[in-house]
Amino acid sequence: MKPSLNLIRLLHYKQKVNKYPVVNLSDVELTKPRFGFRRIRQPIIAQSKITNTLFPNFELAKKYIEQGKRIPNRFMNQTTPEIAKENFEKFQESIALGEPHFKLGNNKVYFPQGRICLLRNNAKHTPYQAKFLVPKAMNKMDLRDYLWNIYGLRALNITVQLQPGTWKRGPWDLGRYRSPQLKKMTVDMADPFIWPEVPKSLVDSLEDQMKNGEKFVELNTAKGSDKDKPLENNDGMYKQDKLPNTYIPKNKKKMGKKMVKIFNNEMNKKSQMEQLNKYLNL
Amino acid sequence: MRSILFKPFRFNPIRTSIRSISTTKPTYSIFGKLTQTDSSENDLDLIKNQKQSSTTETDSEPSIDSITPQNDEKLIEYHKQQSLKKQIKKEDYLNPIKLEMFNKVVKQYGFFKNDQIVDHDGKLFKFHLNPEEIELCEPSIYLTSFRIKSSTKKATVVNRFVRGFNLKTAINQLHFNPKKMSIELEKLLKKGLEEGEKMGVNTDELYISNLWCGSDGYTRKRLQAKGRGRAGLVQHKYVHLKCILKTNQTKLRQQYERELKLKVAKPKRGVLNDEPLNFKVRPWYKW
Repeated sequence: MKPSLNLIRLLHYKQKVNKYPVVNLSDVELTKPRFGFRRIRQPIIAQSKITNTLFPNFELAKKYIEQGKRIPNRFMNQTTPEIAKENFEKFQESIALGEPHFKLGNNKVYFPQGRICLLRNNAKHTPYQAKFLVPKAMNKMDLRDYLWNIYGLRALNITVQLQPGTWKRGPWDLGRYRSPQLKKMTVDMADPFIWPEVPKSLVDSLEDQMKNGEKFVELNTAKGSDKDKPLENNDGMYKQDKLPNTYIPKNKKKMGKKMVKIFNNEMNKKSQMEQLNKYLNL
Repeated sequence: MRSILFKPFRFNPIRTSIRSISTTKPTYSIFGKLTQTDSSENDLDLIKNQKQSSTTETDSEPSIDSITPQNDEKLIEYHKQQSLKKQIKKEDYLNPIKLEMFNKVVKQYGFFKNDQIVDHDGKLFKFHLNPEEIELCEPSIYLTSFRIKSSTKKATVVNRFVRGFNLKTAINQLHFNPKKMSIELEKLLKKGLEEGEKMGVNTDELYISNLWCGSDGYTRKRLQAKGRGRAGLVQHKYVHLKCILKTNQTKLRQQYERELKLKVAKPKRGVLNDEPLNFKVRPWYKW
């Protein structure tokens, strides 16, 4: 069947204005809101604000139970005020008894080999903190046990600082290598400790030593005419007075020395002969 | 709930026996000894005090602290011997008899005159020295500089400026010369002035007889990138200065020899006379 002509929409069809669809103006919303039309949900229990407690998670868990909902994992097994108080009492008791406030390690080491070095405090540290340089294999628990067993020092808290190994270059090649990483631990203590000042006389003497040593290195590595430079270190201990030289050419030096030697030998011979004659009564 | 919460403090004698005292403070501090030390009484002071106390006991020997390089007689004597050993003296390279006779001539005339009759061991000699020997016998000061960052080319310009000058005039001139090498040379010549005083010669009459520079070696070399894939060489050169100062004695001798030569010389006979030209000499043509 052949379709009628007026049903076919031509390729270049253009609707005439009088054939536009008719719309009721009151139905049209000209400025449609772009937000605020969606359903606003009630805040979840985890978002509810809780104040006046040290253990908000514990309170939140309670709320979940009240509303008959499952407690999310992150609020499970939280310390209750009771447990916290219990721990605190236990801690205080152990301090009063002079016992360790933590579980001591079972591994018995009789001769600990690691290098543990007490460092000077940085500006950021309080007198209640002490910093140690420790072996890289050591952890917080190790240091806590170590300080307790050897020095009887109670480490209240330990933080670890693992320094990154910086790139370094050798003097003889183009290669570079990582310098070893350093592990340091900062320990919180019950009693304050302040490092004593290094005595000024000691610092001065060490500085002097260094400066004097540098002068020797300078002389040993001197090139050309600088080899004749006088040593002026150690309060002029090595300084020698330079006496005026006369100029004598190299070839004249060699000949002259020989000649003076021969002359002296002849003179000696003469005196020896005289002595011999005197002895023999000739 | 556990019943530890409000448990009263209990003293446990067994536990305390492990650690002797039950306080919050540990039995002993690792820092105990360090903290007690007073900064005023450090180890060095202690050692010094000990030394002083030891010295007071035995007054016969002076304390080590009081001995310094400036008042240590043994050290001063040692350095004196060493510097004497290092000194280059003409006595070590010249025939003593010749030197003795040379001094006799100088004493008589004020400077050395060759071929004079000299008395030695009751005998008379016609004393002759060759020019090289005369040079060695006459007093001179040999100066050497330290390593200087410069080149021979730059140094020579300044050297030519003061060569042959009186020492004090040269120092004066160099002081107001803006070149770097003139500063270095001035330093060297001032050292010569000091040495002249040590030697006991009249420093006003010292003059620069010889002055030269030399490469001090160990030249640092760098590549200089050039265009078109080429490369040049940047050389960081070092030099040293050497100088011979001589006294008025030499100048007088030279003057005497010149006069003697003129006396001995035959009268010049020829077309040209030694008089100056009677027209103006200029370095360009004038036609």
